[in-house]
Amino acid sequence: MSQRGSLTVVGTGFLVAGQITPESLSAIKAADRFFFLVAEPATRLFLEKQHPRAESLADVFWEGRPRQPAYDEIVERLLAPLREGVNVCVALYGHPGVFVYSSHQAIRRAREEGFAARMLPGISAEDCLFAALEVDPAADGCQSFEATDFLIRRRIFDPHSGLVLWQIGALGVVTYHLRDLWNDDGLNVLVEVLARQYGPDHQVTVYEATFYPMCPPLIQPTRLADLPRCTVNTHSTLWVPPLSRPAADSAMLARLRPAPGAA
Amino acid sequence: MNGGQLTVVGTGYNVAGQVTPEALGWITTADRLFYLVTDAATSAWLKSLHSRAESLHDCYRVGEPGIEAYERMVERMLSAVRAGHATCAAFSGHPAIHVPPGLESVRRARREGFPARLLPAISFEDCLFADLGFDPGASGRLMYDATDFLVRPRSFDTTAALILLQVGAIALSDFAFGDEPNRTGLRVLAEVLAGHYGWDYRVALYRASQLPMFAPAVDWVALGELAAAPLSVVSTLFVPPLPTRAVDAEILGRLRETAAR
Repeated sequence: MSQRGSLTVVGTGFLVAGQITPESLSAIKAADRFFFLVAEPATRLFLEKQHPRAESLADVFWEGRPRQPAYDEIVERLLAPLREGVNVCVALYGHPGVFVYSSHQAIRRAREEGFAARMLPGISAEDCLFAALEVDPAADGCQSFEATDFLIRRRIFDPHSGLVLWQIGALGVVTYHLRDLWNDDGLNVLVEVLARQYGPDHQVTVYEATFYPMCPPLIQPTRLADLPRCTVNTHSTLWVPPLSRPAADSAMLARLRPAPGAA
Repeated sequence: MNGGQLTVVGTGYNVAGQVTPEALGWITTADRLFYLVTDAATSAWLKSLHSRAESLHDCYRVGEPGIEAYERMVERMLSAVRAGHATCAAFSGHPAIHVPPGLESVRRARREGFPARLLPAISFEDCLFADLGFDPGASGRLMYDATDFLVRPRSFDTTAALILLQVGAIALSDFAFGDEPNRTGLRVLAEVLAGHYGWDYRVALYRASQLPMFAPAVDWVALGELAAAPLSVVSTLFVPPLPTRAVDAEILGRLRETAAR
């Protein structure tokens, strides 16, 4: 049942070389074959120093190619050496299991074929957002959606909890493009939907994680209604803080308390 | 200013295995290191990194609300900053998520004119996504403290994943030694969730691995069995999403139209 060969998926975080965990770095160094897909050149240089045969997966993307075939090709490229019985590691920027199809699919397929496969956690864009904006997502609860999905599936949300919307610069886009802002007009549709619940004057923040220690993250506070005038690209995330905190239901609180002497 | 500053970092969950290089840099070079971690191995590791590592755990008093302990922690960190020390505070997991003294100490230090920053870290959610093979981007995800979720009912989307923190410590706001979960609260939670998902719906109780080589604890149970399921006060509940809703053709059409421009 169990085959020789293993797959380990790791994340490099965002800050170049500054956010990779020791366990992930060990997995990279121990691999027979090492692949990576990162967003900027300095991380690429850093990873090429960690392994003598570091291979980029960036060539699966090209201008105008639909994204799904590119993701499928990544899975196939990872599985091929696995079937030769070697230990494969792949590093993706951010957290390797957040907003990534290929990593989960590769692990599922590898396990189906009898190989050991695991994912190690990485620093996600959301981790960076909570740290940079100094927001505790557990304080009032936090709802997180991909922005296109949020709109087209008419997601139910509560304005009294925080709301994080990903990929606000790529609304309705399913094809890979090199341009920074893929669909700025889509922001008008997003503002219309949000303003119904929050009003046009609610203060929101456009956030973009930084890759370089010397560049602070891009943080743009704005009125909701002015969002379409902000600098937005495909890495931009929208943070919508909660409206006021609802009053606690004291009858419910009383029901929750353990009876004295019993847990 | 006297050179005092504050950097708040997280160490993740795997002793030394998940700390980021930038966090490690601040931990080792700070004049003063304070820490609050959940296990003895991480505590021993931090002490090996810094000759003046001080645990904040003694700020807790049995039977007292946690908020009093947090205030004591913040003031202890701030008094080091006010004395002109470059101060670092390290917490388990991510220091902004469910760590009240982490954010409060940064805010207070900055209000008093000291440079202060908070660095991202591996959170319990990051471990959960990796261990359960779940992508929060695919369905969306909601995160609530379990007590808050019950006491301040909110509208929520059952077609997104729901993550509830501290399901073993519902309505327990006072500090206690030991690990005795509140099953009364858990029973009420199961009842509320069953109203949305049905009693047969399967959910996972999750606890991140605390030590290298140890597997995380993942127990899948039906909501009807939740109140009796194995758990600790730090367990997290993962409620998978219900099947996705149909796409709204009108909004999709409008977005496609704008994208094609």
